[in-house]
Amino acid sequence: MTVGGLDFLSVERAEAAGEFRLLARSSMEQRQRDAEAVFAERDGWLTAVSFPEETAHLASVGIADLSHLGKLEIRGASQPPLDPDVVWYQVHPERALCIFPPGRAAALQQGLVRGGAHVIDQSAGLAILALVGPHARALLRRLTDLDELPASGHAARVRADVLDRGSGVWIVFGQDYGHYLWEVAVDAAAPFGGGPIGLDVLEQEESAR
Amino acid sequence: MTFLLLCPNCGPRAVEEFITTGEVTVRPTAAPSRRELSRYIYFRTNAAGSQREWWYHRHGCELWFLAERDTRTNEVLGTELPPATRPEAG
Amino acid sequence: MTRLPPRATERLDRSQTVAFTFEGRTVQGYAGDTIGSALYAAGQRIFSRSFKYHRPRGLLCCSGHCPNCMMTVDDVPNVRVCAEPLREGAAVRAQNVIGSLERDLLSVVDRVAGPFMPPGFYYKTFIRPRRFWPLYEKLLRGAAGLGRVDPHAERTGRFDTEDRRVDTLVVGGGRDGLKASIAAASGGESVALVDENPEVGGSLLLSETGVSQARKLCEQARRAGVDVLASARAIGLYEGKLVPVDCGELLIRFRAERVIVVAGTAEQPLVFPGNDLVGVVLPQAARRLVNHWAVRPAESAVVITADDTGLEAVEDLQAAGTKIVAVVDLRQREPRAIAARGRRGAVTAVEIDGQRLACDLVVASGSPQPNYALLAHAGAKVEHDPARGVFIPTELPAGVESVGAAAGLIGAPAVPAASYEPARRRPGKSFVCLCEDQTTKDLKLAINEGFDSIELSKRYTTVTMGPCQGRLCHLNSIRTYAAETASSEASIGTTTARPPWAPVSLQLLAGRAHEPARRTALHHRHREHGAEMIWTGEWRRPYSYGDPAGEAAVVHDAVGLIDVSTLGKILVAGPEAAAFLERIYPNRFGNMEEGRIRYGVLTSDAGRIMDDGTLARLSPNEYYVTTTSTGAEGVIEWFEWWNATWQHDVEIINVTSALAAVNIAGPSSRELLGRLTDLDVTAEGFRYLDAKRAYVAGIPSLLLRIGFVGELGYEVHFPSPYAVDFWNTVLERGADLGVDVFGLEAQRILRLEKAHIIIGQDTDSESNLLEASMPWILKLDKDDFVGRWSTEHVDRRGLMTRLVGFEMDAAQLPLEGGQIVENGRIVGRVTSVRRSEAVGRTIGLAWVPAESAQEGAEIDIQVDGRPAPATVTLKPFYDAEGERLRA
Repeated sequence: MTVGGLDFLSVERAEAAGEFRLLARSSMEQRQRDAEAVFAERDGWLTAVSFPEETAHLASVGIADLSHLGKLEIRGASQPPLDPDVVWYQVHPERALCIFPPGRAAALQQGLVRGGAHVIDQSAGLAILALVGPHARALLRRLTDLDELPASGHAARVRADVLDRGSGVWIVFGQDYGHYLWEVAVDAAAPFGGGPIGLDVLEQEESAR
Repeated sequence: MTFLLLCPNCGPRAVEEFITTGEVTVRPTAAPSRRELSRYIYFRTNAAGSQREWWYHRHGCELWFLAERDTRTNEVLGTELPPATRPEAG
Repeated sequence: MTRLPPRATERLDRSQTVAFTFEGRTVQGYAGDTIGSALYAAGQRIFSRSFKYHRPRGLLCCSGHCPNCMMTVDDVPNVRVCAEPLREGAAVRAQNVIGSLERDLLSVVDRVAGPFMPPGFYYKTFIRPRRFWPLYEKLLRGAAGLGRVDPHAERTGRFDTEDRRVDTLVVGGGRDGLKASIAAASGGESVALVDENPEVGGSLLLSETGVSQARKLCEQARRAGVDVLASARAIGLYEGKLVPVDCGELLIRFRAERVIVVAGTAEQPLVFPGNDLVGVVLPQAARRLVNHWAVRPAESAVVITADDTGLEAVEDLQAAGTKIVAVVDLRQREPRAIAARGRRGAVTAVEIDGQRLACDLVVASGSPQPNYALLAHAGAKVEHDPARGVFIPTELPAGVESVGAAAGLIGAPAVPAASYEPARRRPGKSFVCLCEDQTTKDLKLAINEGFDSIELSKRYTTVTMGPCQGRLCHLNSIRTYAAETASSEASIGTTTARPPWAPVSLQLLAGRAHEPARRTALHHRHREHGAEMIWTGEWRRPYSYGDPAGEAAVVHDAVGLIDVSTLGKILVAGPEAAAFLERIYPNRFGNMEEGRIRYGVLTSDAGRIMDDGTLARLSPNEYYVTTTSTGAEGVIEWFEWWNATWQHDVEIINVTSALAAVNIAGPSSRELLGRLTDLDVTAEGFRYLDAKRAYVAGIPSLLLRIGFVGELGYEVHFPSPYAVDFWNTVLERGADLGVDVFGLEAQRILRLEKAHIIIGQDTDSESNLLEASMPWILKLDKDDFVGRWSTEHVDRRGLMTRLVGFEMDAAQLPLEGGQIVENGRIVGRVTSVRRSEAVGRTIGLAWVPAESAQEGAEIDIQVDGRPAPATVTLKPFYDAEGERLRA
């Protein structure tokens, strides 16, 4: 099996069949372990699916790790694909960020390249923190001065793209700051009674709306 | 230093989101004499007043752009993308 | 008992008594009291001893702005108890006294030491004999000052910072401020209103009708959508209309399109002998005591006032049962001389133009000085209005407005004299500055000594530099100056107003410590291996796992594993990628074959070395560029900046975070790699400086066969989420080969054995390619590139210094930075040095004079203060021909 082009950036092209043990891990895994998360394998990723007291956290502001989602960085002129599961953010006229459920990077990339854009798989490089709940915006104000979303700026002094997700916001940033930003966000949420939530309760919350 | 800089893409933002390389200089077009090279590398006008500068939106859209800033008051008189990156009209 | 029957304006909840201790004695107050009002109600009159003279001081302003009521509360020093809410169990103590407030032993300073402590005394007295200065200093520091800080105290409490954006921010919640906020909100703007008092309403709160009006306006504002914040003090108005607001445990940084300053005025004291006696107060102190806390301030009072505020105080005092002995309205009668008399520091009478009036309270009100500070921060000018004797803000910058008294709408007060000192030989001390104990005599002395500009004098006398920050003394000091120098207040002017507007705690400014740290995906594994982690820029990296020399030996003898994920990684792609790289690097890259790697060095246009790394050509239009660990962002910014002008058709994309990178190095690395991949890893199949793409341990990877650590080795780059599994698999599969992990220090030893330079360690911001012994990087037979002319200039000028290797006896170990010495002069320096077990010598890199840059040249290096001999070498110390590397 060969690796062509820039496939060495691709999380989804890993071949776990047979001899090698492979699991994609979020940069925030250890902090989540420290917070007593329950983990499960989803789509080739080790994800934190629940935390103690997450229902109470969600009533104020829940913090969830969505690093397992796929992301593409698009350069040049491009059009967002017509797909409700694809989140599109235009950073500037010649640069966009695209976020989608895991496993779809190759197909989306092909479509965009056909349209003439230069596309790089950043699924591995970008981490995502979701802030969900009535105090999500209040918590955001403790991390950044970004006000009108979506916008690119900083979160706790780290460059980030901040997207409006209705019931909350997504903070997209370089995964090497994962430990740091998780710690800062959970600390900032404490005075609000907020804290970590897992993917299961997040999913329930989203389908309820 | 807390002034607002008008990023041509993102709008007015706090100056700490940016870095600057300072005054716009003119690079010699052909092999310069030693004096011309020295001037280019070491000398700056350093105006007390309006100055044309390069700024980069480091914590933001990551675009380079030009700004006119009054160095005495930090009033930003205008900003624009570098000439060739501005989208063509029509 | 001085507590009055319940009043409509009071803040007290009389159903809740609150007990606290003062100097160890239990005192009772009510919920709604401040510590100061509870103490006053219980009979306490002396609240502090002054900074220098230890004179007894009592409540003066009762609004948290003067220094007179500062005490230590629960070990927090300098708390203004007149504004501090009372809480159960608070432990309140006096500060800066030896003994008690009533009998302070240090008050001897007032009686005796005064002549030795004029302004600037530390330049004049307590100097000789010089050897006594440490003693003098200790005594002076002990006697002067305010509260004491415990240097070992832990940070208590939690302080957060928040950013908010509004269309309009109104500073000041009195009647005018509330109305301004309602007007702005009714116009559809997002509005916030901040007021430093616990309840919004300003001076409306001093009367029953006013309280009801304040509540209605506040309701109206909230319904209009105004965010009304009490106990929120704006501390400055910075560039870009940034207004930080101190809310106690939260700092809110407001950005507003419009800032409306409705900060009111500060009542000014009058200047006369005895004006610092306990019982000499400003009208607002009397009015607040009566109205907010239902306390009768005194038995009998004399009121001297420049405007209506004193008359309002008269009404309140009468309602409280205080006998009004006399009222002097300066608008109708201007006395020539006023002097207050007292016993044990408390006022007993005041003499006005020779007439003695017995009383235990003197309400003395000078001008209402507009609080212009925030406006001045923003760049407004401040001008003297001679008709009313105060300074008014003018020429407000765009987006900054002022309304009401702060803007100068203060009616028509009298203009008080600079001082009402009686003309007699020993009139007594007339204080201009209570915080710093500066009298009219002190200011005159300073002027006579030549400190005749207000800015100079401020720094010499320290007037306005105390806790009140000029609020109660600046105007009077300017009037004194004008009188003394026979000039006008307008020509003297004011000193520059600077934030903060009031003292703010460092804890609040520090907030939560947001110090960004970057960690690789292997961070936890390094901790599990027992690594000692260090900072490299923002990165956390393993310095070693306990035995750097042993770790290096594993790489020489078997196979080692190091996490190099921190390397910057950049994709340069597009039809003009090659042209772009040719133009920005001194190297040649355009003729590289696909799948090959070159070492590149980036230079500035001044020919100075900026960064280095490897470039692999992945395809005709794609290059994979690595940079130093702390250099990635800078290199991208550099690339983008040049391309903003050149506009080459190329994309520059940061993939540093996307990829983890692990170096597998050592004679057994080929064997180990072969177990993890189907790729042909034979010497012919995967040559030195080849770049290959293949599955390694099931993970799609880019492999670079390069040699920073000098042994056969492969740098594997792959998606970072798989780092832990990759690492574990390699260690498992290579166990029988003796594989082990190595850290930064081992890597440093290994690269030094090969004389491989580290940018920033062996080079500095002046180093150029030629003197750094890398002439082969430079390709002059191509078109213009960044740094070309400067490097050519160095070539023409000739090299003056050279970066070379040196080796010496292993018994000697110079310091990095150690000097190269020749005939007693320093001619160079050591940049890197280590003892190498593999080489058996001390080895290093150093900058030496160009003449000494010869194979075998002898140089001297300072070691422990003595020159030690070393030999220059231009070859690597280990495997000089690179046979092991290129195996």
